[in-house]
Amino acid sequence: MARTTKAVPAAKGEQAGGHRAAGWVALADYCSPSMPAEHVVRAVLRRIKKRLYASDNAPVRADNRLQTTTLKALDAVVAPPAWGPLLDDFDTSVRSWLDEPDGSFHCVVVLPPCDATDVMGTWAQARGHAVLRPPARDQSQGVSVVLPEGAKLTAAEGGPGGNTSPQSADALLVIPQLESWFLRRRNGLDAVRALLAELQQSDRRCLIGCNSWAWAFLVRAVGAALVLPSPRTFAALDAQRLHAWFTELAQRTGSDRVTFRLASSGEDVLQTHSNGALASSYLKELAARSHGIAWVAWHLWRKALRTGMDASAAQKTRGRADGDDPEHVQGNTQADALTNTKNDVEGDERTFWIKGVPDPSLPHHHDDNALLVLHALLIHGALSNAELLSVLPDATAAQVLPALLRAGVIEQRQSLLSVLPAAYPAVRRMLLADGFPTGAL
Amino acid sequence: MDSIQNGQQKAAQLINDLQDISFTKVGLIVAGTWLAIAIAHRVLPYLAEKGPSQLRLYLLGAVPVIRLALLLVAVLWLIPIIFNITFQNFLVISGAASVAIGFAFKDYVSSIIAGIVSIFERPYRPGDWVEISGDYGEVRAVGMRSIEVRTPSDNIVYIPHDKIWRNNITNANDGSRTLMCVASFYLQPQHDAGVVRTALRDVALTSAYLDYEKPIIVTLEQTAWGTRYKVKAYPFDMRDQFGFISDLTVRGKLAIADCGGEESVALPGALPRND
Repeated sequence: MARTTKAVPAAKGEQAGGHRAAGWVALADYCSPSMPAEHVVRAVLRRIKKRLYASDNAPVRADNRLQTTTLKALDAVVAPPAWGPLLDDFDTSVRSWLDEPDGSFHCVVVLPPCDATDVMGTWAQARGHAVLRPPARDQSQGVSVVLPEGAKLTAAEGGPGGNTSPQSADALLVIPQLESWFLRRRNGLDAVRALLAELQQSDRRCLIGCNSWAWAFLVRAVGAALVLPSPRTFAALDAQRLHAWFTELAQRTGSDRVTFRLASSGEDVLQTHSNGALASSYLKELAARSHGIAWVAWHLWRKALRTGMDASAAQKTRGRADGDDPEHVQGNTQADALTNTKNDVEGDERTFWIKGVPDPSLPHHHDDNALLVLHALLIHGALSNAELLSVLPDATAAQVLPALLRAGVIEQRQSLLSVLPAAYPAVRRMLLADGFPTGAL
Repeated sequence: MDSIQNGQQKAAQLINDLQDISFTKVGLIVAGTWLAIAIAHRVLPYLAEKGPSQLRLYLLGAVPVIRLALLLVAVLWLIPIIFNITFQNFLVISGAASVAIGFAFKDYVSSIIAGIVSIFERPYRPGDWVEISGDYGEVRAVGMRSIEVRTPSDNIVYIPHDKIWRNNITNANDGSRTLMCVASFYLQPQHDAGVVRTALRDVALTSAYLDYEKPIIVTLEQTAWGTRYKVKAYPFDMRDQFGFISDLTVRGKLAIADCGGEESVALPGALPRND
């Protein structure tokens, strides 16, 4: 079989091809990458084989010779932000929308959930666009809502950016995270209703971001699709784009060539055939598992990476809990990082080992409450404890929070709870199986 | 004497000679059918509870169909092994069976036939929420003679199939995954009905149990004991119906209080049936 010996395509042309800005697609046309059929068959066969021959097919790299990668090492080969390739998409797509001669004044971009970094807000600020932030949630209830000054959305009045023409890119007002404008409780929709009413009257170019679960709710609850028709979204990240992205991230490390091998088979997952096709199906599986969502794939990729260690180091660290979230391992020392590096470097090649990332499980006998909590978090993006309690039918449902935090399903950052991107595929599957209304992404 | 001998010969011909009947085969068929039915009875409901909720009703509904098919196959298999099938024998067996059924097992056979009819007409299926003769609950199992209904109070009620000949069967979901839930509120007439109606609609819209695909209807009518509001909406899973109604009621009361409404108090028995 003809394969390139290069681990990663270094040519700029290939990178450019991989990082092509896929642009927006209509939300209804979003097509999640599908799992390779062979993966399913192989998984079943592997399970049967494992039962029949317990000691057969030992992994190339045993678990006891792998250790969690330090944050420093991860940041070197899989650097943040988690939405890297979408930046180009934003620029080209917004530009083409603004250039449409008869384009609508408002454009809603439905984004996947678990966007902890606020991709649209960050992009807008980086490009100097005016950004309209939501009012604090505890102030957003009440019959009459006074929108903040920036919410005056008519071009004539001028917005926060002091804009003059609706056709000008400078006039663009970005409203990221529409999910932060409401709380799913009986008096929690006033702010988003007021905003939509303002948008209905406005003649200013507005780019609105909303997560897909919140969008599904808002379409039902406040008729958001009537004010903001034709929602768009980013095209799914397929294996080729993941390959280009991860390759580029790995190349930032410097002169060392970095390889990523499956711990089970030793297969190099970034290796390509001479025709450019991927030699391994791992990235196809990753693309399918992450539903083509950039930050989910990025977190799963980081979570899967392990560094190897020699026998003495394995002995030393035996007993250390395996399977910890690599992004939360704070205790590893600089010496550990150096050890990792030494153990995985052969010549000018540095190897990271890819281990399977198991799906998190929900607390036994509390599945219903856990699913209610997770559904609420996905709809709102992130919630404080008090806000979460106010949107649940029963306060006892929140009792599952410690178990969900422990299981690595949710996280708490600055008192805000949200679903972890790496857990999103499993959470989505569980909610879907239980009949919950889900987002398109 | 001739007539007696003829009768004995006919009787002897009804059933095959004992030495020709393979009792091992009969036993295996009976045991195999029983085993297959028992497996279907346990495995399919287990899969229905553990698997995706979209498949739940299909799996539960397959149990009686599988059982009927298995019984039919077993009976058709056994008859030629045991009986000497001729047209005359058929008439003799039918006559004897008619007398026995007419006198002793009329209701039993009526229920069995109604059970077979119910498999095709589908007035209820496992997983449906039905009301029959005042008993409301979830159909847990559809048996040969009766159905097993679990009420909201966790009582099990066995209702014979022959009820379908005479009684109305009320099926709340009719094979779908959701059903309409109604939360009722009675208010003193002096209030802003438009505001209350909007608030109650928001209560339903923001319920964690709401099925987005189904409509929400808030109706009101003037009654002798005040203004009656009915919030009609669908949960995404019918198993949440009581949680959904409770959620609507708890938050509906708060919404009414916020709108300045005051709930009226009626004497026990004065209220109409909650529909």
